[in-house]
Amino acid sequence: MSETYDFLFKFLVIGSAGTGKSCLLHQFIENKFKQDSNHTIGVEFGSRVVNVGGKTVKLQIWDTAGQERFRSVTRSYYRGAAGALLVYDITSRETYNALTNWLTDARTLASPNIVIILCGNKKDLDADREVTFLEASRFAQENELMFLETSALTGENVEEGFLKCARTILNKIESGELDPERMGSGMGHTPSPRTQPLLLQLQVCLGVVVSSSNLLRHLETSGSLFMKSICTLNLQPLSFASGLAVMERHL
Amino acid sequence: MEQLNVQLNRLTRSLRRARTVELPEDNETAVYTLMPMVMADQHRSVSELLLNSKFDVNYAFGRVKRSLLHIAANCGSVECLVLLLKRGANPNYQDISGCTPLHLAARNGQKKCMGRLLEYNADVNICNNEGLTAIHWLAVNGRTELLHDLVQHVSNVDVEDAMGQTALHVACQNGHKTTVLCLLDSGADINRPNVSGATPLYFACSHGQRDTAQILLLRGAKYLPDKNGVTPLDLCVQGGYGETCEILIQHHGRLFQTLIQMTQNEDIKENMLRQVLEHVSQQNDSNYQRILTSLAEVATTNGHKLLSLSSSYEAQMKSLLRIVRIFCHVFRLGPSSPNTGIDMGYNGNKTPRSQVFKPLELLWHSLDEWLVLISTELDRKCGDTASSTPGSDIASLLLKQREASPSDAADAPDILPSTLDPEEVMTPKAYVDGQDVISMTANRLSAVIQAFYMCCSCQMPHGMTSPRFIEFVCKHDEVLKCFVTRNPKIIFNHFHFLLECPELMSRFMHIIKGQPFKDRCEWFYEHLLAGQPDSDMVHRPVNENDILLIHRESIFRSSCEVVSKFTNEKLKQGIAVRFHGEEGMGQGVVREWFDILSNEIINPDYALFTQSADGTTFQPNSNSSVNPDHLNYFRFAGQILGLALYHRQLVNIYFTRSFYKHILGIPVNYQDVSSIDPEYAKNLQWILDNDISDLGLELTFSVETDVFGAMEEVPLKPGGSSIQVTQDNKAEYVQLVTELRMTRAIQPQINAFLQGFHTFIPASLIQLFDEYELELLLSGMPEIDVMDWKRNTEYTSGYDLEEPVIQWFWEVVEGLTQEERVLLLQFVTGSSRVPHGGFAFLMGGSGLQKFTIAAVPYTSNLLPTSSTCINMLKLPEYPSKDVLRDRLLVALHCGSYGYTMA
Repeated sequence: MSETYDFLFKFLVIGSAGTGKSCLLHQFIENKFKQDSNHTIGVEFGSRVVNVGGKTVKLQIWDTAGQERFRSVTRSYYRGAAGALLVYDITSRETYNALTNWLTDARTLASPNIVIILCGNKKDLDADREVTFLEASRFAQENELMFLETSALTGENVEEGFLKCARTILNKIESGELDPERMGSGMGHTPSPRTQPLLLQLQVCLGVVVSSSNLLRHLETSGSLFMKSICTLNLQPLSFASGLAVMERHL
Repeated sequence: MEQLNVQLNRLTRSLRRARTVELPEDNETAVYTLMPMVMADQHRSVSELLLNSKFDVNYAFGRVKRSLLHIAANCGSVECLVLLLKRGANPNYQDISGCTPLHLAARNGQKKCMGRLLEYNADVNICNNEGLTAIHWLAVNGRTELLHDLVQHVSNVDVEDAMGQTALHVACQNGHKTTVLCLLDSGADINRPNVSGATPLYFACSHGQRDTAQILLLRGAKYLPDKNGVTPLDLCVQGGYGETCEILIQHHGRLFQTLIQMTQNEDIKENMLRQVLEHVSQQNDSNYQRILTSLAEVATTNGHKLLSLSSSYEAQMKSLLRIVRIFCHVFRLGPSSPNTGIDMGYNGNKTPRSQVFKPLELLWHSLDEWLVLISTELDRKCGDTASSTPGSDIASLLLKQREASPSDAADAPDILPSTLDPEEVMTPKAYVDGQDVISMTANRLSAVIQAFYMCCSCQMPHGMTSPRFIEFVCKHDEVLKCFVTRNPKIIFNHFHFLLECPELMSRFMHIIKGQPFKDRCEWFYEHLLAGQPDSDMVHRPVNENDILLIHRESIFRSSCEVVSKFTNEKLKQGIAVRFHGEEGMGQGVVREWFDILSNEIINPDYALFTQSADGTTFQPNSNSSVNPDHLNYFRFAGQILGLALYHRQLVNIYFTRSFYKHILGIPVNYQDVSSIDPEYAKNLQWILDNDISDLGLELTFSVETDVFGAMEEVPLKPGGSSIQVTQDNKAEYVQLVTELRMTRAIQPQINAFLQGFHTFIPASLIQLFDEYELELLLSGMPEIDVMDWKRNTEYTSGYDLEEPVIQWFWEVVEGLTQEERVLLLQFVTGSSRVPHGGFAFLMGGSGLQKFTIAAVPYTSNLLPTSSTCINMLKLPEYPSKDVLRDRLLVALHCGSYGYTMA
């Protein structure tokens, strides 16, 4: 009679208008593409219980309107979110350019520790692509985001996007980096002093590796490998670093 | 001879013992001779009778086919039992339901009998037809001591009955702690499910057996649901067993969240869940804080879900309000320790107790942002209309008619082509959803506002409105008005706060007054009775002390005395009346009491009320002070009227229009004067209608009145006797003179009456009605005889009874509800009542004036109008019956209030 689960994660889906946020959510919850989707008014809600690493996790997902006029309303839903899908449209550079603003919003309003996965949606419209996989993945790295290209139409990577985000949060909880007691409470919480320097360190490390022209050239030719590596990264500082180590050996 | 001796001997013995000394030959008769002896354990007699008899000790008799051994075991006749066993009675004989003597002994706790039966090798493992064994019977009744003795003989302590229930199940269900311990010690399976998957813990919880549940949990019982997924916690909540819930949570910490989540489940009875949460929160301060904080979080999530347009409004709204109700209830109770009880958290969020509201701030923040958003869009819409800037993106969304937006956009280029910059051209595409944000969100936001109000006011002392909430309403005044103008139902569904704070009510009054009478009535009673015990209390037996005992011959005085002895709270809870020396009680008597008493109140002998000019209505007598106690009686009259209204009882009094206005606090006007002095009212009308400049009336702002024979000059305002009435100030003069005649003359009486009336009916609530409706509420709907009406109606300006329009009219009137007929009567005559004697006696401004229907040329959409002073309905010559009905109903529902149509 009563639903039971081990964890409850509050998720946000954010990004500019028309990038397909509601369709991603619909695909994740209903397993089908949402035809004739209208502009979201305010914030919509969806939830699904998933199994992540042997734990049942209820995802409480808030799908926000992308239109500017709703911005102040949607912002009021950010607090207490543990994870976010930051969505842009690969066929619209404008939506890609707006990412920084969305990111700042999420980190300042939800929590600096919020786990964010960047989703380049409408992967099925490759012919109209305005944003390359590479530049987006570079953006993701620079901003410590996980990254996937998704298609709400075909369902490609949709499930993965949500699950990856959930898995990362779970890992952070297990490593003690996040406190689940405080997460669901909707209260803001400060990052533990231990993790901050590590994150900074990693940023520096990434900066060095990525700027190497050799690596860049290599990545252009073997994008899939890079993606695979990125996918296995949990954004936990240590495993991320070891992931890079693996990559370097490939080079 | 010897035979005779033997017979004689028997006779003596029989007589001496007062019973037969010889068993009858046949078993059936014999057994009924023996049974009473066995029941009384008269073992000597039984033994004597059985001696030399051929009686079959295993003979089964009666409906249930029991043997005497059953009887002995059942009654605890241990000597007889042994005797029967010695004589070869079968200890395992089963009656028709499969019960052995051992079952019966176990059921009735016959310890000795049980012991003896065991000595004679009674089988403890036999099941009856329902599968129950002796240990089941012991467990049902908690006979632990006997169980101890018996259990060592039992081969399987987990033996199941037909439902798969073990002795442990039944012991748990009945909460026999020691029995449970004994069974567990004897190796009973603590997690054994029955056929439906119910475990011992499940049974303990289903019956709220707190201690048993504790024992089971301490011994490691698993927390398992039944086959339908119903968990022990579900059962505890369903039964409202707070203590058992508390124990479950102690052992399984995560059930706490489950319990909190249950507030979202509409299948769970709210009062039970509240009871449970109340109990758990009262255990200690940390529980209190934790429950409230969690409830606040759940409420916040729920409120956000409600604001998601794809969610079900009904379900989420109910859920949110339920959670908030429970939250406020638990908050108000306060934590268990009394010393913190004083802190009601008035100081915003600074005190620890009000910390629990913190999670809700997220929801209030969202609410605020939503309202700001809507306000911005309203402004932009207005701005656009004002500056006639077409095609604004937001405005297109806000337009009521979806189809209106494309046409606006299409018209735009013709008017101001240059203003259409590319961004605006995009608009229809960007907002092609074209739906109206306000109408989609108004209900949802209003429900959140209601929740916000509940949370604000539960932090305030009773009867005070939170300044924060008032500030909130003022801030969003425009948006809230827009909500209720579009959908007035919102007021009744969600804006209950209006009734509790007059300062906010006044902002919405005009919208509220425009709502149907029926809706306002419901709202009125809903709030009047809120806080009273549930209506199922009505059937409680009436306490003799709670009966109003009235003397019929002096009903007024006697009622006055009796009522004054009762507290208002008692009278609100319910009234029971009995007349002295009579038997009758119940609703009929209560009705009769109100009926007779109201007639007495206007009895001229008391000089409290005087008849008005039309002879049917009453108003306070300005000279009532001839009765020295008059003000007390006025207060009493007010109380009775209020009490009648409170309990939906009708009174047999009709007041003047002006007195209803006094009750409502509405200012009177000169037309009201006609009820006490029609000629004078006409004169007032005349000076208003004519230019008085050159008439030389020589009027000043003062009047002469007759105070018990002496003429006195009374100024209408300070220095009035030296102020001339002129064409310019005549309206003020008329108003002041009206107030003098209608109000000032009877001010003390009105005040006393209202003082009594308001003890039962708050002024803020009665405000919902106008004077016509108040009359309906107090005195009820008069019966209207359409035949009589039709017979006494005249026609002018071209109408006659044969006209199709007139035929249609009467057909429509016959099809109207009683309420609508009253509205029609009110619409045309200004009064809801038919005079005594019927329509033939209908009065106009100057004597008898029949109901008249006059023809008016028809133009499209024209509504009927009326002239109340001459009882005339001006009925346009409608082209069809349907149009006539439609227009008439529109006029009735909009026009019977106020003077707009007069």
